[in-house]
Amino acid sequence: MKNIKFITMTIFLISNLAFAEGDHDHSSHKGHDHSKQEEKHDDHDDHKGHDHSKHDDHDDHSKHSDNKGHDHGASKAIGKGRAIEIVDEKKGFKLSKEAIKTLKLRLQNVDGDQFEISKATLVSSKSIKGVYRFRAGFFKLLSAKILKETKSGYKVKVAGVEFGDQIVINGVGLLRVTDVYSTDKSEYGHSH
Amino acid sequence: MINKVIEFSVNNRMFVFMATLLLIVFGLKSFQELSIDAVPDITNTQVQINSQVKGLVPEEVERMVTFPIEYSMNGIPGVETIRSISRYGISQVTVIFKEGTDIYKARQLASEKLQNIELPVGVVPEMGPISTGLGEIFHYSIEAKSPEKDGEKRLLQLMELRSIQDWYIKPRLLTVKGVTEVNTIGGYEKQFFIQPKIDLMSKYGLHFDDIEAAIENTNLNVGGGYIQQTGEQVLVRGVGLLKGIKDIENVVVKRLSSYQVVKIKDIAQVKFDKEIRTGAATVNGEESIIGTAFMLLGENSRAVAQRVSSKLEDVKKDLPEWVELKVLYDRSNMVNATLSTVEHNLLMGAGLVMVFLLLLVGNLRAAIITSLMIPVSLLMTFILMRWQNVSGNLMSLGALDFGIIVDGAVIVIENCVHRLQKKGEELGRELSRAEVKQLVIDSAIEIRSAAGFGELIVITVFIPLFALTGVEGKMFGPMAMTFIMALGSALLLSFTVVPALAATFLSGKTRDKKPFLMSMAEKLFKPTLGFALRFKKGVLGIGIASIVMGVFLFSRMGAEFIPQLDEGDFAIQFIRPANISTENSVKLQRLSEDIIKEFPQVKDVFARTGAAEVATDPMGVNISDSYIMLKEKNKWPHDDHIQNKKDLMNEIKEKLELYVPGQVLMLSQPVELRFNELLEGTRAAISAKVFGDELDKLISYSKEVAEIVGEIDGAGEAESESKGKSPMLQYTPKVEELAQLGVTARPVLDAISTAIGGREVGHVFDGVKRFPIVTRLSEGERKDVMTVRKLPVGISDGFTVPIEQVADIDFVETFSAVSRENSQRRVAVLVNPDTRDIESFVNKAKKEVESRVKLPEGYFIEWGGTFKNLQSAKERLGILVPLALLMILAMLYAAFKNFAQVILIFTCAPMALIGGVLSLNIMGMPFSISAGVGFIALSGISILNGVVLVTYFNRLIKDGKSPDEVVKEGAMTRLRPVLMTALTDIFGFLPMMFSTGLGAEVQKPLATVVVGGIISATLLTLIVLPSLYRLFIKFMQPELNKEAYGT
Repeated sequence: MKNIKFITMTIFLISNLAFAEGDHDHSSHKGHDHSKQEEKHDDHDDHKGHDHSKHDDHDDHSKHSDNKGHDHGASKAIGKGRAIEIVDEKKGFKLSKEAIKTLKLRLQNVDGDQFEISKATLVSSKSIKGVYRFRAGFFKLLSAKILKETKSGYKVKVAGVEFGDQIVINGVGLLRVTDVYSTDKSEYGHSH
Repeated sequence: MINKVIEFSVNNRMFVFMATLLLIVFGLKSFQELSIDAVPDITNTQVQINSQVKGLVPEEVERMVTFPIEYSMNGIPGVETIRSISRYGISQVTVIFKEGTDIYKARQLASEKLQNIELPVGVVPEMGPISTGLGEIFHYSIEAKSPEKDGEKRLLQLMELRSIQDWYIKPRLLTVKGVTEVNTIGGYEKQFFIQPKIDLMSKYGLHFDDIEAAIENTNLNVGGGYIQQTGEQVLVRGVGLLKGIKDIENVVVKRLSSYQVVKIKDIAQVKFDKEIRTGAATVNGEESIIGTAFMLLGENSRAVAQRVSSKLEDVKKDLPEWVELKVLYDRSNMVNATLSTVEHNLLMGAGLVMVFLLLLVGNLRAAIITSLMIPVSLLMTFILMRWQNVSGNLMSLGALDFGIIVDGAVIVIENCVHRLQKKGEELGRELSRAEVKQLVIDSAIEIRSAAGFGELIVITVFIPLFALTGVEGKMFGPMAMTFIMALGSALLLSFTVVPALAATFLSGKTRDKKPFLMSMAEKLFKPTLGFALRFKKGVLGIGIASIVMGVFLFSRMGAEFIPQLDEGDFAIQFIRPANISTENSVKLQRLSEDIIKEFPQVKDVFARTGAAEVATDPMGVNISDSYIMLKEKNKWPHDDHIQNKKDLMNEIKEKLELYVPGQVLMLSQPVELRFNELLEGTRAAISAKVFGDELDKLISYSKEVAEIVGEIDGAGEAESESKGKSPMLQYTPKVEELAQLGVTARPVLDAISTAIGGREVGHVFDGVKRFPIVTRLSEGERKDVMTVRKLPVGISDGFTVPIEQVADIDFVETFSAVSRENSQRRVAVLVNPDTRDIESFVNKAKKEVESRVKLPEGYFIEWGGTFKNLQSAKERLGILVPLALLMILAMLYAAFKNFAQVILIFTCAPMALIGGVLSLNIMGMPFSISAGVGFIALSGISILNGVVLVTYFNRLIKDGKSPDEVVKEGAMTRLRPVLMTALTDIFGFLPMMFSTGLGAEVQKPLATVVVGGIISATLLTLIVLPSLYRLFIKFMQPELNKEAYGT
């Protein structure tokens, strides 16, 4: 008597057939063309010709090599067509060009592991200080050692930054949120 | 009894007409006074107890506040469930009482218990507003016409706007009848901040307590009673109240031994600054202030929303020139839109019923008389609804099918016309009025059992719906009640007003002119019936095959509780990392709103991030509830590829996911979101609640469950409710060092709470408005880890030490929230499935989770959401519907005294199944309780057809006709009433079946089942029933002699 189908069938004097599960196709809305909404990513014009597309290295994604394969449950917040395209333990995380534009990220070239940064560029997380490196399309937080405080900011030494790399000088706050979200450092509901 | 009523009505027509007129007047009045809403309010009786617990982390809030309150509430009689959530600074305990408990009694009992709970100093539990899930009926925003761009100026502007809301708009709205609370979120409370400079305080040997004491000693007015003069008296007062920043700056804190005076301005900066917010509001991508009006429990949401709207129009006139008040959400719009759907369907249905009556009866007067019963019975229903406090909504009024309702009247009037015509033919002359009267009485009496009995059966099948409790009871009880009221009204009218009108207006020359439609139907039916009677066993086979096929298809169907009401607008819940700051959460929200606003279909988008002033919904700042208000459909751009809400929601979601990182999106609707929260304590259609003791384990299991559920087809969004841990800067007093200094830990703890958390040390009054004076470090110093290590701790008068000397300072992690249900901790997995087939989805999810997640002892999973309502409804109906059917069998047996005939009549019901199931399949709908109600109604309606046919067959047998003649003549003669009732029933529901208006989806399954079922039931009944009657004639008429049975 625990099934409404049974109830209704009782109404119709038939009550003893089992119910198989329906095989419904509920394929979600997919394949929409966003080309109209995509805007040209031109925020990096001042980055001395740095071309992100050339650095879109998809060859070595040991942890998350599939650009569709980072679905968390059904939230699907990471993958192709999403703001965070790839998360890689070594390289960091890769954002869609639309997300980079939305977060108003600005990059600055550095020519070695020691350089001056503004106060807004420095990331503080608990006791850690760091900067975001941008290399080959991936953002990664690297620990920074403050060498001295200057008028406009700090002189820092960052291990892991090399000639040709760029660091994020604007939009660091939201980039940090994205990092926490993508790499699950706050034990946010996305297990890795 | 009924015979006497019919005779009385015909013989006292003026009395009947006057009574009807009176009924119409009362009906109209009742309609005006009827409580109108979109859907029934399904919220249970619950009391929310909110406590602001400044400074405590969730686990401490749980231990020191939530648990004692929960424990105390457990003893209250009638308590069914207790849920709680403990967050940083907030404790909320929700006590759910048994169905039917008076809310005021429940609050009284809870209030009495609250008096005796020992809670930490300063924690004052407060009960939430007396409201429900439908309570948030009105949202508005307060904004400057020209928002300041500069940060400081904008801050002051937001403070000013917040003051206008708190001290001007809110008090006026609270006077509106039916408003129980006005909640505010957004902006900044105007606060005077004293921001001490740590180095200067150390220099003068000052503690934070010194500032507090200085303000307390200065900021007060005193009364001196009065003095008497000659014949007069003069009041005396001392005025010390501080009036603003300058006054605060000049308060003396200390006099040094050098007689130098240290004022507040010497050691601190006094300014307006940002409070530590637990929530923020955004409107169309800008920070703003949002006010929400809560409706008092039991009020009429449309009426209250209209009153709020009107009051706000008054308020607007008195607002400063630079302020703009904008209505964001007005519930009356949704109610009006859904009611307009109901109204449209009812009117269309009634119109179609009238047209078909005219086409099928072929007698204008008879058609008009029957059609008149539609508005009259509706008005009578309004009177009864008003009397029984049943509100008019999608579920109650939306379920009315005038075709079904006037079935009784149709049968009576059809028989009158038929008999008048027959008598006229027999006599070969026009009938006198007296003869007409007598014939009407005879006809009505003759058919009373078929008409009355059939309708009584329909009423009986609805009775089990009253036994539903909880959400399903609140949803379908009013529906059953209204349907029965309407049927009862129509039944009464068909034995009173219909005969009276027929006796007055039907002509003595009445000729039963066969309308074209009927002639056509008879032409088609006659050979078909003849063929069927030749192959009776074959027909029996077809009947059985149809039933089997219906059952098979039925068994393959998915199921849901009821279709989700389309509220017109929609909501998106953004969930961000637990440790996100308020500012960053607001930034992400603003970016998201900018994107949403780009869609030309969107009128406004607004959001609440975190908890509001009255924390009815204690969300963390990492969660934003966004409401997307859409333009009217005709204002959507025609050349855009998005032309419906579902596509728009998907496109917005896809674009947000591509453009804005760091957040999970969950789609919902404004009312749905609140209902889910209030009913289940979670904010999704389905929730898998993992219970246990250790939060770490619970979070881990919940993530595992979310992953598994997320992999199932149709999962949509599946997300663990827990946002894990947040970092925390923890100071632990060094006991030994403090002992050496000869002080307790208190000064250390006070320094933390005042310097970082802020302490209210007094108020500045501006008329009746009062604004807090708060001592706290500046924002720059608060977030500087180095500075907060140097906080001065007052050891003795004039002596301070840096806090790092007397306390260990570490970053640790804490849980962002602790949820409990029935005294156990739990973490829920929230699922908003894509599929409408909730039942098979949950069954599959349960199976998968049970097989893949191995829980240790003491841990278990409970599934909740609308699925639970579906289950509960099934269980109750599973017992009660068969009982009702047994009752019908008994009623039929009492009427026909022949078991074979009873069974034959009863077979009409399964013959309706195939049509109902097929129509649901064609329309792509799963089974739902709404469709179930359709099947229940259908069983009654189809049995009515059987009753009409078998009654007539029996009469013909009595008249001495042979079995073959009986079935042929009987079926041909009764073709018209059967077709008339069927077609009116179908056309009464047809507009609802194809309606696309707001809210139409809720009753579509009901209409679809009834329309499809009646088609199959009518076709099969007209063919199969006569064949079976003839085939089993010896069982139908055992008293006939064997020769008469024939073959």
